[in-house]
Amino acid sequence: MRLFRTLEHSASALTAERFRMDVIANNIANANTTRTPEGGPFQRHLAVFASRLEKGQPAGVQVLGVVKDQTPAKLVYNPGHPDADANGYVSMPNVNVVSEMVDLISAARAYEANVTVINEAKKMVQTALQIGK
Amino acid sequence: MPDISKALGLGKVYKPVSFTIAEADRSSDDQTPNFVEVFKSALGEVNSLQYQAKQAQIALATGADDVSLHQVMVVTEQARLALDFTMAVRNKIMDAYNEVMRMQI
Amino acid sequence: MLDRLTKDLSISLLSRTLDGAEARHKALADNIANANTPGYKRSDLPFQEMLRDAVSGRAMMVTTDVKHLPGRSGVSRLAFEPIRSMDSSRIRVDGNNVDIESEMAKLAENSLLYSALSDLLSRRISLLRSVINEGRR
Repeated sequence: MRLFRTLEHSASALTAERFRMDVIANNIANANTTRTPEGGPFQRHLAVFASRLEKGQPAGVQVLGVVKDQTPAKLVYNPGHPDADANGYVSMPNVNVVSEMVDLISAARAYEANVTVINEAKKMVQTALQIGK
Repeated sequence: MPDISKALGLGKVYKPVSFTIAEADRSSDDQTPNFVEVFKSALGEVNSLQYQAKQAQIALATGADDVSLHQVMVVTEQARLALDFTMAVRNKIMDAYNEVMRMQI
Repeated sequence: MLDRLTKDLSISLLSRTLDGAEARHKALADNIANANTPGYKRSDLPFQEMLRDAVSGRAMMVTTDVKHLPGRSGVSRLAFEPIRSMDSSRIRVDGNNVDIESEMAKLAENSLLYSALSDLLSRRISLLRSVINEGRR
């Protein structure tokens, strides 16, 4: 049934935004991580969204994957730091916490909006069930 | 008592030429459809509506993409109304028939 | 004999309008789902306009699969296809032109319209039922 299908599409958005929030939360948690297993400071991660299509018809959204932000690391002068280079500069992660918070709020808002969409669809189905009663 | 036959144009086709069903089946005027034929065709329509309703319900149950819930509800209700209507007409006719049969001649 | 039931104009028209509202919900839902998708452009479905055009005979008719809904032929064959807007007046940096608040407002309006239409349809059916039951023994 058509309305049931849109529920699935809206749910795909919930999954996607939730995933994005996880990625952002991880960025924030690693805002000061100067040492990673791959060497070098932590690099900001980005979730890549794309429209989802089913048989050529719009069907919500999907996460294509996660990419690393290639913006160069911030160099902060801190000679006492264990990871300081020869000149006393530490390579800090390219994470801007304020910007991450804004993205987090945007993701949360989108999440809530999609919950509302699902609730509206439910309401519509419920009124349709009353037809003839 | 409200007269449904008039409301639904039935008066135009019913010709009270005789009081037995067998005789009513033979129409003296071939242009005008007689009541039994009309009733039979109505039952055919009721049947077809019931079938459509069933198909719609199956489509809904099996998750077909091109069916809407409101369509299923409407078709189901129309089938039900058609049946109710046909039975109401039948009952009215039977009542009229019985009343006439009870008349002292 | 049953034409007044199966070809009832109110029922057909209301039912088709509900089809339109349902299709619009789908379009708006897709917009909101893609609120953060780079390059996504919103789409909408002005179904009431489409119905007006169909009833007045102005629309291009496209066959759909609505087999069991009789009514004015233009309306019953109308396909509710969403229209994607290339509106560039409100594009963000990532190429997306969805304004969540605006979509939510349209969504609420559409949902209410759906409920109202559904209720009217239900009342029409109840009316027919009352008329029929009055004729019972």
